[in-house]
Amino acid sequence: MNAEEKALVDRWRGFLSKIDERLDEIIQECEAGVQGLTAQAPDDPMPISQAMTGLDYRIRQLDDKIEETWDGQVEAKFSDGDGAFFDVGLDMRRDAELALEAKWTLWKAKAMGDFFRQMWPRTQAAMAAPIPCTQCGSPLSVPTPHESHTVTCASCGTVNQVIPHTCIQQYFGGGVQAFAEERALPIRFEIERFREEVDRWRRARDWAPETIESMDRWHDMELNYWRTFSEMKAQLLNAPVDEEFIESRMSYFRKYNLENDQRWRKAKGL
Amino acid sequence: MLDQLTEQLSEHVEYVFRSARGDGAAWPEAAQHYGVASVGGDGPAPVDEVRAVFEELVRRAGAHLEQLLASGQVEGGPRVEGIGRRLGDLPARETARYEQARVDALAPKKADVGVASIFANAAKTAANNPWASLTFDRQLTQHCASCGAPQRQEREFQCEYCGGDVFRRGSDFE
Repeated sequence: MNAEEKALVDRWRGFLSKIDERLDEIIQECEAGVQGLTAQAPDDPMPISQAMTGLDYRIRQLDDKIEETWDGQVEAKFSDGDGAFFDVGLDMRRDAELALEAKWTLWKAKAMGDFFRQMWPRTQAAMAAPIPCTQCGSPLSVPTPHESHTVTCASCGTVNQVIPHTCIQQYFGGGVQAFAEERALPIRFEIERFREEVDRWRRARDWAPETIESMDRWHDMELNYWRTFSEMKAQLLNAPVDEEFIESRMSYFRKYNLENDQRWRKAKGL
Repeated sequence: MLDQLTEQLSEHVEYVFRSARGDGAAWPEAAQHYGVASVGGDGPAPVDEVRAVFEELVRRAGAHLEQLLASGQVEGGPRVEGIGRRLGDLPARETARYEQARVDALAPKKADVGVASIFANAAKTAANNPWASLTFDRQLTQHCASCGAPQRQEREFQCEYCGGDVFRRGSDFE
């Protein structure tokens, strides 16, 4: 890389760093915003979800800025060098885009997780509160307090339809989903990173096909994602791991990513 | 006296300006106050009506100044000449200011680079969601529509006491 090329790389890196800094600033502002919304509606995740939709658009603008700048001002300059130099600029762009998406998505997942975590003391208290029979007032024995039940009173035999407190419903509904995503999402971005590395490996070898071992690794990483997600849910709900759900996700993955590759099919005896 | 005249003139100009932009009194009434007929309607006032109002305002202020001079309450001099010049170009100057304000109002607003507005909007609209104020019984027991006895057997909808229906028959079910 000559001095001129090095200067171009530095300028491009400087621009991408500015985008990252702007993302950090937005996240910092969001921390305060989420705290405010949580204080206003501590048991209602809807305001934060709505804010996230608006914030997603703001983050997409940062991503668009990278694309517009590359297309309009940078790509032509990197094209002046050889193919390898062009790839340097392109890889920097892709790295920045991946990092931006990962940082923002993981922050969102943590923010939602934090929101539901602050509900736990109230959820716990609501679950511990006795539920009296509508007819005689005797405490009912509800097997799983986070689910709706039809309970027959042991004292008077009256049938009670029991719906969990809103706080409990939110925690074991949206909360469990948020905790599972928070746990599994880092794996999703490891997969994204891995796929990017595979592309670069192929590019460096004149677009040689991906190895079967690499595809198997991809499969295992994907399985790890869905298993981690499902195990977290199962743990929180005190329920068995939903193997059917994992298989449904993996069957789609295999169908659209592996089984359409004849080499992989042959290697697996399909 | 001259101070009072210039002060009142400024107040009138501001009153006309704000009414014309829609920030103050309704424009048709404001125009009528200066003897100018307005075609009315919502939104900013038509430019020619605003100019006509400023011209009438200047005419009245000029007449008042003439009265003050004629009655000897004020004497001519540089200050009176200055006020005269101000009155002379006031309609053109203030009408141009009004036209510019109309153009500025139409220009796209500068993008909000912060995220405070997003959170403020979320907080505001969340309070409007139809579920926010919804209340319902978390527990209920079905009762016989005939004798009022509670349901005693899950998925059994015939009262064990009187044989009546443990739900309300009505148009919803027929």
